[in-house]
Amino acid sequence: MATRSLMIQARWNQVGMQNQGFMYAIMPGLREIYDDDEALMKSAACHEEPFNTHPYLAPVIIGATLNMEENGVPKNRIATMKRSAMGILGSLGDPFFWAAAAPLASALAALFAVMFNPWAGLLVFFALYGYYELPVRSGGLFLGYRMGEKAVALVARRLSARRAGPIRALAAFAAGILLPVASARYSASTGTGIAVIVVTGLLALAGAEVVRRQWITAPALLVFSIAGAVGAFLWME
Amino acid sequence: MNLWLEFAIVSLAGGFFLLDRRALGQAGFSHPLVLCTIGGAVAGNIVTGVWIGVVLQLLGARSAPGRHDWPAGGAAAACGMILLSRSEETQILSSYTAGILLAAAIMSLAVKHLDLKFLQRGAGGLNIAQAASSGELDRTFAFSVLIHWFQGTLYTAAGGLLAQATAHSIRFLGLNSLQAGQWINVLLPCAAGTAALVGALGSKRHILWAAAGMVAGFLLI
Repeated sequence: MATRSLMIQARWNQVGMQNQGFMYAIMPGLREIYDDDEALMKSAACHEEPFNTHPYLAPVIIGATLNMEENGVPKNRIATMKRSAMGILGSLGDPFFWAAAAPLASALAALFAVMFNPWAGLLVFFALYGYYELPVRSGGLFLGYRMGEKAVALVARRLSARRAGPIRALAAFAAGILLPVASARYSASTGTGIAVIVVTGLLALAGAEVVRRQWITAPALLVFSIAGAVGAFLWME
Repeated sequence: MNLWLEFAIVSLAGGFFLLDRRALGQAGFSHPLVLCTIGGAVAGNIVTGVWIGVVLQLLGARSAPGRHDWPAGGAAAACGMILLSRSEETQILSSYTAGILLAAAIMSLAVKHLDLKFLQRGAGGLNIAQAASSGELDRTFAFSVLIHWFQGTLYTAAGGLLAQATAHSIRFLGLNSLQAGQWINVLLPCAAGTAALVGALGSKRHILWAAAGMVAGFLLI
């Protein structure tokens, strides 16, 4: 089940979202609980409704659901638990994992890769990303199965306590360090002047404000900036 | 080894890594920094590989793996680097960086829309409960992983070919050995990556933190 829960998004679709993945992950557990096909089918039918949560936190809900199925909890109560848990964990997981942990791991890994060694960057990335992601992914299923619906409240409490603000600030700080360090590292041979680095830094800060205001997407920002710079240099020549 | 055979192997490997972006795991193996570092090492110029990976990683750091498209750009860049190094029988040059990054960005934009069409087809009218109890769901998932692999292979191959075209175009314009080349290949992409990451964090306070980081970086160098 733990392995199957890694594939929760493999059949993500716009109708049921992760419901096929949820069913795929929980099915071995349901087969253990229900011996006859009719009961199994009846139980499976209750899990057909749309399901969508943060993929790293889905194992907690899968485990909790299995616990409730095993203890004979009424189906409507299980459905209510699933609906509320997926909302709570989805809304807590997205800002923490995608908007704080991933940027911090990326910025620090990039800094290490540029400053020290490419492989050190990868090591930092996996160590930091794994530090946030692995405990909940590896232990979530067992925690949910052992504690039932109480596990959802416990995980939610722990995630709320982990404040994403300082993590994001650190990610921004690390990304800021990267620009002058990378300039010194990669432009050493041509001797790029301090003035050029300062201008580029100011452009980066202006670009950050443009992205923050959602006037432009990240890929478009890169395409426009490179195309604009190439055009400007050709025009000057 | 034959160039086309190597291209096929690299595309299949890229497709395999791209399974991590949605179908299997989402543990970070499909992130551009990982793919481009490996791609750069295989291409014989790990510094350029890391550089491209760093920029793409910063550009996509804030996006959710289930929805974003930067891994496809990373795979495209890695494939492009390997192709360029093999077709010219030399190490890839840092002057290719902006061209490869452009290809990766274009692929990221394209894949976002292609993925949406793929997801719309994914609903399928499957009777889930019946399929689960009969074992059909297991086969469906195995097949689905294969489809994702095939999809990732196509993205990698298409991106690799596109990177060839854009990298040669940028180099053809004569921006490789000038001060301008350093700015276009190194500083500007890094600035765009920093801007994307800091801006996507969503608050003016983060821009101040980035400015403080820049000052610290200056003191460091």
